[in-house]
Amino acid sequence: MNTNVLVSELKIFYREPVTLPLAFALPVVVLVIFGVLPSDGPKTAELPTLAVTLVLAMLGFLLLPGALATYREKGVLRRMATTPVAPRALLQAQLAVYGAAALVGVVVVVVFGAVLLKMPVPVGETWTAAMVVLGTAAIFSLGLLPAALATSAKAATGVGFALYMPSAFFAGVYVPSAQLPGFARSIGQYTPLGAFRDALTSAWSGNTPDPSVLAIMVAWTVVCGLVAARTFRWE
Amino acid sequence: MENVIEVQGLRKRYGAVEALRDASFTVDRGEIFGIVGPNGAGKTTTVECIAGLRRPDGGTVRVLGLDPGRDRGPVRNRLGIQLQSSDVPERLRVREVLALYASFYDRPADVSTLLTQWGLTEKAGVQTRKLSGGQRQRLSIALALVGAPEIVVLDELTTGLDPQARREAWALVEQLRAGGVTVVLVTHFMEEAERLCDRVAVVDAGRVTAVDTPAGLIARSGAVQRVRFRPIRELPLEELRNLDEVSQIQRTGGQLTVEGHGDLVRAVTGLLARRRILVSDLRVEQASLEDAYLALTGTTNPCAQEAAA
Repeated sequence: MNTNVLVSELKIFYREPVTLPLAFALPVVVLVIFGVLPSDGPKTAELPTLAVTLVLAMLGFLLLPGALATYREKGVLRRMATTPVAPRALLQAQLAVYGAAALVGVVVVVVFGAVLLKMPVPVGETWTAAMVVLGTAAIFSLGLLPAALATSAKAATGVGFALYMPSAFFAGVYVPSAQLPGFARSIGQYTPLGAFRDALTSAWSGNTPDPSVLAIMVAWTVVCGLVAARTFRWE
Repeated sequence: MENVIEVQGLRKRYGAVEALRDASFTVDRGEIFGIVGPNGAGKTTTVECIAGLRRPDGGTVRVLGLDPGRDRGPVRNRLGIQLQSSDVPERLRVREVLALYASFYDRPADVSTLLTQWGLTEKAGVQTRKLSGGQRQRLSIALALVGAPEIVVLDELTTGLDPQARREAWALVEQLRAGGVTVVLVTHFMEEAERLCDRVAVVDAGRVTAVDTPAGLIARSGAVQRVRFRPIRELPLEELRNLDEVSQIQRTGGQLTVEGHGDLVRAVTGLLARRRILVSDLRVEQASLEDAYLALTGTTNPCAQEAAA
């Protein structure tokens, strides 16, 4: 990994006008709005896992595809290919920055929720951290497909949005999973975002996530990652 | 003279389109070498193969004795290329972009010097998305030079530059040559090629149809030259007609129009001097590289094309 490229990508991430609001502010706002509503029972992991799920979905489906495809469309990759540093370095740096942003976003949500809204913090810290890493890998891998295949940045963003909408539904973002009809819950378990939400909720309350859910996330990561890597269009 | 670029029988096909059929030429160290030709003739493909950005289907390319396809690192370290339709991240500042790209090379050029040379000092702290077309173009050229290359390839150097900036860019290219850098200039703009290039390759339909100095191309294109003047007293037309360079004479009232080729001006003025005939309203229409180019690429004059072949 080229550190100079990495630093540049960090600056760009920070300077993009929609990135920070969408990836960090929106999940926190959701957390606050629902967190201050009066509720009957004790506070559950429902809200913080929802906010964390949103962080990963925003980054992986709404931001990453467009960012990568823009680099191809504008000839940034082509320009980089003329230097001794291969354009691969740009993609590595971008993925590293988005991955780091995911981790930061999760920490923001946990700390914000716990300190200001008295939300439960994860009980199984190790499993929670592991699920965040695995979930990021699975969700980003799926987000890489439109980035790899789309002919334009607009198309990549559009496909990313088309991935986001049903993913969010099946992951219980619009309606809590418990209130989803049975078939929707079953489908949700097989989507990367739904599997992640499921595993995260288990880990958050100190349970060990279901191995089949882990396997689903690993499968998404491997299959989408390989397809994206093999089909990535450099021009 | 040492060759720094050697292209032999280069072939490249994109699907059904044969971009390059059989392109061959060599570029000497320290010269400004022009590549001209119609749209789609294969100019950009040629330089992309030289830079190792495309793998040719056939033929060989050697850059500084290296194979750009295999020795990617060393070639990229010593050859800079400015391409059309290539850009930098829009939210990096001008100085940041140059410093970043400088960090990619073993012995980069000084970023501040480049900023000054290409008139970007005032824009150093501005994000690239806010640059005008001309400023963007100058940044693109500066980026091609940021690795302090031995060879620099400039694709449509002055596109998007205003006349003032264009002259400045030409002066800087001449300055590059003075500093020993070999320049390969892909251009549409014949005035630019005629003014800057030591030698020019004409690429047409995937082949190099001619390589020569601009003057040589003009001479071999057979493009017609004209001298018009009004002799003060009667001139022996027979003697004019007998000059090798003269092909046609026309008289309109008191004015003579002499058409011909080669060093027509010298032949005609020489005769006038020997006969001690003064003339007024002397006008010379010399063929430019543009005339030669049109003739050589067969765009207007098929006879001239035959003469060139």
